[in-house]
Amino acid sequence: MNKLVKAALMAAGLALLGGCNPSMKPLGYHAQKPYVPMSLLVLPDGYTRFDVQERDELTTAVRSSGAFSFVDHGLPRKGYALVISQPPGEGAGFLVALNALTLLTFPMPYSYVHNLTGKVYKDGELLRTFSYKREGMSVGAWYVPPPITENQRQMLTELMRDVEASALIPHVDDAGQVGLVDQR
Amino acid sequence: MKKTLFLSASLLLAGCAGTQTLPDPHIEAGQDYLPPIAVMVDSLEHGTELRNYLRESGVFSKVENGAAGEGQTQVMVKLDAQRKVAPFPLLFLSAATLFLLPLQSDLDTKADFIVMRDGKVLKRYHYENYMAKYAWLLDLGVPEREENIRRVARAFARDMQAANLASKPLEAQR
Amino acid sequence: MSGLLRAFARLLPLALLTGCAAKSPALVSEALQPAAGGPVTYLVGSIGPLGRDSAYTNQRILLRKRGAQDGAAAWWGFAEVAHTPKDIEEVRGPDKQALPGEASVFVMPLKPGDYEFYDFQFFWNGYNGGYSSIRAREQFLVPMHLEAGKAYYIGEFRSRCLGPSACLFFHGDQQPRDEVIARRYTPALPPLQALNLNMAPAFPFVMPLPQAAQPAK
Repeated sequence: MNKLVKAALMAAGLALLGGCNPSMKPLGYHAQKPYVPMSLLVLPDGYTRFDVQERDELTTAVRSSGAFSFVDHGLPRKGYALVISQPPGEGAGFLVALNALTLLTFPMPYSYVHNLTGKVYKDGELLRTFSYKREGMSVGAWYVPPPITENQRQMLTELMRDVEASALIPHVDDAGQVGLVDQR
Repeated sequence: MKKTLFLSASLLLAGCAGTQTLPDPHIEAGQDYLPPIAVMVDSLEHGTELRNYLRESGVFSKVENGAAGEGQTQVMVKLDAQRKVAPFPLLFLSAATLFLLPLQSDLDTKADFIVMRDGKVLKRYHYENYMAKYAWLLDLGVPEREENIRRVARAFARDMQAANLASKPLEAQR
Repeated sequence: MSGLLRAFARLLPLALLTGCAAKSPALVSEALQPAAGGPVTYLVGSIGPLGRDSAYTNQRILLRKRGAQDGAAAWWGFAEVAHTPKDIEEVRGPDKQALPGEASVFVMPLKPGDYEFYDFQFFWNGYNGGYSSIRAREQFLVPMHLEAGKAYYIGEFRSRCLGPSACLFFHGDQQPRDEVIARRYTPALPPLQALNLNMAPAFPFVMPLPQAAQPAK
């Protein structure tokens, strides 16, 4: 029983400390007024569990900013849409993967470039593109959280601020559109 | 002893089919297609799914995604589909049995359909469908969840067709 | 045990060879198959890749009975074990040195009624054993009414991929060519009439064949 307790505690300790990718903190942006009903499309479109998880994280972060009164999925032929994508940058390379031989204990450095793009569409036409980039150096070890989550959070915050400042998408007016404002 | 255990286990597991509170709506066949509608759904997970089921109903000549043009019917859908799963302790217990122990995996759907034209609300519809299911390793309940959304879509399609058949022009509420 | 292995060894080449026979490019679910001796309607067309790009893979167009989930499909397959007949093999477009595209002619016997062309599929078995497919996320609706005792020509669906995941079908008309091949498969086929479907709802997944890809007359 004693041994079992020790093993369980150690496992719990490792789980708390070790490489669990921390989920994204809330965005530093909160909307004053929500947008009219619009569509949101977060790329990449993949169906792998990693793609789905990443897409869900970005979507949740953006939704929790309170910017959307009513948000649909896709890119419609008529209406407003925001398409968020992450153009390929640079990340942990082959050497970091090799670091697995040291059980990711050796602090293997790598340089990264993270990109995020937001495109505002109206009736299928691209109105404006907002691009953001974060670059720097990090270390591929289990005790160092990867910088991509925080970078995504910062870039999304900037994107939401810039989209609001651009006044491209109208807001729900004070009277509220009949039947469209969230009544829950 | 082993035989009876195995038999009772397989019997219990076989009876894990999901139930839906909303019966499968019956749609009149052979009617003309209704004019195109534009549908926006307030749900990132189920929006496209709902639109595809509306297309599958065979009632509408076209179901577009997005805002409607002038004179075109716009349908705004507030879709609240909540997954109700077993609490964590039961989840761990089932995991210990490699998910052979069935777990509650329900889907509670409440949907509001608002039919508009040129900015004026014509009619509102409300549907609810509670799908109760015990899911386990070999039956995750995916078809039942899809069927839940499908029935809500078909219910709306049936009611739109019935409203059209009644030849009552949809008048703006005053 | 050795007896079983021997029997298996004898059966294996036979199984492989039978698997190598071309499969019919028309798939009709049981609910839509015409009853023996009952009314039948035929849907005829051709499907296949226009050239040797990423479209050179398993592909199909999906139809369903209006208002139901019962479906039928016309497919073109290219794989070691399952493939469809190479009825058409030709080079289209200006580059005459390019590898030829292919197509299979399908004759689909169906129960008469209202049908809809609503989706398509391209699918691959990945190099790592995975499986990936492309379908339209937002489906479309091209309706058609098929009457008993008649045969309808829906057109040729020739696919092209503009990049890894952007695949579409070009819709053309090759009724004289396809009718000859269709009659080889089904001699009792009623006279073929053009269906003349408006493929606009299926845009941008189905587009009219561009001039450059029209075959030389």
